[in-house]
Amino acid sequence: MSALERLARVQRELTAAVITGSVLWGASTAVALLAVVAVADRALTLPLELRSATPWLAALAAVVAATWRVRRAGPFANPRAVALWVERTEPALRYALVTRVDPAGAASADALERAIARVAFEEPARRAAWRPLLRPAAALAAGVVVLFALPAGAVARIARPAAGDIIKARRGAGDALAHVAVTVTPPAYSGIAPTTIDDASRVSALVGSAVRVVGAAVGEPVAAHADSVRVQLAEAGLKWTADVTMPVAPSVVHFVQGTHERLLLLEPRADSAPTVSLTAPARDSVLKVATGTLRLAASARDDIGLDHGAFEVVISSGEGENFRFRTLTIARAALGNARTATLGGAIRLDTLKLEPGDLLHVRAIALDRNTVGGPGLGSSETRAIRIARAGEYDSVDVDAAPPPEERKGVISERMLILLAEKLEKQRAQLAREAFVGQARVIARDQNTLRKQVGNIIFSRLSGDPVDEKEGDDDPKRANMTPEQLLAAANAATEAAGAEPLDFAGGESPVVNINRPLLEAYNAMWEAGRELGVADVKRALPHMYVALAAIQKARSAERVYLRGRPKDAVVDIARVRLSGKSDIIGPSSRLPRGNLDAAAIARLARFDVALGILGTRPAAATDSLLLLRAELLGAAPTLAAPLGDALDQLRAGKDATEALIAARRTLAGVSAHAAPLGAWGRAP
Amino acid sequence: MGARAMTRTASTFTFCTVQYESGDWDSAPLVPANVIDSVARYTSVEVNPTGVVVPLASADLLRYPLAYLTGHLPVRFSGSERDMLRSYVMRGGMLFVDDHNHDVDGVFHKSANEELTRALGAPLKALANTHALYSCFFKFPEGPPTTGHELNGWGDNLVHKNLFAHLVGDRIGVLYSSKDYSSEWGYHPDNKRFLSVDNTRFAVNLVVYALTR
Repeated sequence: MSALERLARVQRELTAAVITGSVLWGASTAVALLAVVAVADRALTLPLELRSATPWLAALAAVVAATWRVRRAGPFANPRAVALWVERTEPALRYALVTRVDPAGAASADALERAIARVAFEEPARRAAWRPLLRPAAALAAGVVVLFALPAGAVARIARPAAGDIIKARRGAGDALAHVAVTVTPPAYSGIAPTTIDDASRVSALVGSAVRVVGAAVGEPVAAHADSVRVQLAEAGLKWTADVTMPVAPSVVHFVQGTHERLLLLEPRADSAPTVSLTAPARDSVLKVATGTLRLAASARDDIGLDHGAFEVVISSGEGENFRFRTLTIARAALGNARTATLGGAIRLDTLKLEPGDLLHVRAIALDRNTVGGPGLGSSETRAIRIARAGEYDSVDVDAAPPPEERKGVISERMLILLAEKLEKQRAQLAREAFVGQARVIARDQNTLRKQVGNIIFSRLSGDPVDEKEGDDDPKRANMTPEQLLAAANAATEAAGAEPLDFAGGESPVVNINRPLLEAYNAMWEAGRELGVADVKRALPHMYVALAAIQKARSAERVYLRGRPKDAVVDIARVRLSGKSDIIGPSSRLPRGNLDAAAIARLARFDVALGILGTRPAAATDSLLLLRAELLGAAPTLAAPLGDALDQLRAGKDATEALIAARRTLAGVSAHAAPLGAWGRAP
Repeated sequence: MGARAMTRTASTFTFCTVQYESGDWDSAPLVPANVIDSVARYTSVEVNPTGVVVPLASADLLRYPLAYLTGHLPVRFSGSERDMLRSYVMRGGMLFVDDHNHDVDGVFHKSANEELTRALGAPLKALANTHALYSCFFKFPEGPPTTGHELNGWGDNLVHKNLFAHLVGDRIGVLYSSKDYSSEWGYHPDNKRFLSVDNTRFAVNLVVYALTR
């Protein structure tokens, strides 16, 4: 065997030793880390998060240590470096091996081979390669011994950490309530997997969920009661367990062991009923005949899962006091516990034997799979499909309604009469100037109304619609006396008489219609003139005549003295504070309302808890927990910010902001999600 | 100009009529002017002389502390309208809904209540007649003032004792009326001079309450 072949064998052995040594160093580092954490967890009960990260940290440490050892071992892949390493372990070679590896020594290869052949360097090199592995092997063995020396379960808490393993199964004295694990198993219908929470102070779960609380069976026996009802505890192995069912209303489970106490707030979460929306038919309808197909479509969703859905159709027949009803269920479909689903179907109307006047009330329904308090039933809005009665379309079928609101914007003759009568009654108390002034105001309104009447008359006579404003400014018509206007009307009537109109009573229809308005116009003229000279007493009879004539005209063909209302722009400056001030309350802004007795009591409890938070945090947290339990039932909207504060406190975080928000809520000071601008309230 | 407009919007009360996609939201066109007139007539609140119409689905609604919604026909809110209504109420706005049919058997009442319940998550509840709304400016010791339409027997032929409300904390988020104030207040404000008692005084309470709570 040549020297180079012998060197190659040594190089392979050296490589194996270096790799093995690196693995041992990595493994011993990982085992040492696990052992240290396990010992620390035994003493301090490390949190789940840290224990969960430990295996990954150990693996990382092993890789880093092994890599470092490989790099530190040197260039064992290079034959010249290996030859030098062999020369260090066996000085008898006198650098013959290094020279043989060097290409420059090829000229004296035979002499070098003979010199190397005289030295057995393999065995010293093997010993030198494997000797460094003793230390990592010893460290690994020590770590393994430590791990095996730990109590049962201690290594599993590090290697396979899981929620709930915070409970250490051991005997002896101690606080059995220091740590508890709560396992929540939702009702089977929900299909939700059980969850375990370590050291929970409150548990939120579906109503009917099984809640199992587990603690270490150390020290005195543990007792528990929920809302004054004793809770049965059982000991299994080295642990105690308490089983309760999530109630409908919030409840607090109170655990006691000697002087130790612990509270667990049970926060029930209701299973919501399905939400159903009917998309077809989209709106209520009236059908002339009961034929064809009515398409049905709906969508449904549920927070847990839907069981089945269908369409419900109620058919009402009859009228007056005699009605009959039929109920049909159409297109029932199993929804397979899906959270969202669509329903579809159709009704063939001609198969329902519908009669005119019958009414179909259509809605969609969906049920969930709640076997605890349900099933929850959700229904959509109802659409009404009516079959028209015979003859319904033969005449105008309208519901009676009061006149449009616009007519209220027009001053009426009746209002003017009321004003004039009131003014006449006040004649003795008023100064002459005031009386004349008010009479002229009424006269002006009377003339305005007369012009409106004139507009209608002129429009009828000419056949052209006349704009009210233009009519007011028409100098030709404005200068006409009542007699001239009447003559014009008669002339128009005579002209119309040549046309083939339906005469009645010897007069043309135009005169029949317009005569009352002409009479009103004349009476208004007289009334306006009398009011203009402040002779209200003489004006009133003309006003009565005008009102009667207008009423007569209205009866004839429903003529309302109105038009399209103008856009109303309020003259703010004119009306500012012109209202009657004696009927206004003493203050336009009241302070925030006083809290009721219950709210004051809750706020006082909150303040007491805050007061002891610095010195007795556990007691303060329990007080806040009990307050939240009460609020969940009495005022759920107030409980939410308190829950946030409790979570912060339990996690050991700064709860200042959450406590401030909770107190503001309890004190009745609302906060906005976002500012509204200048009108928004202070946050 | 923009800054001035913003300042005016932010510091001046503007009456807001809500426009929704279904129904006749514009059935009471004279109510805004009448309410504006009353606010100016009895208070020193800075008020714009005309109101605005804002779509219910628009985020512009959040600029107005009081919004007015009325109609005769069935109300069906779209998803975006429902979301904005919820956001508006939760952020401090006050929506005043009035049944222009004054009929609890009418389609507006039924559909509007359905939609409001769906949007707010809870049905409206009767508002106590001792609520601060009835005393924050004018005093209404008997609760909401009766309208002429109730007394005339139109609609459901009932005199409604209470208004209904959705409360956010102790604040009114949605106020619902079956009393038909839309008809009662639907006249030109100049005609108030013919009234011995101004029937729009309750509108002032609505505005003052919305601005101060």
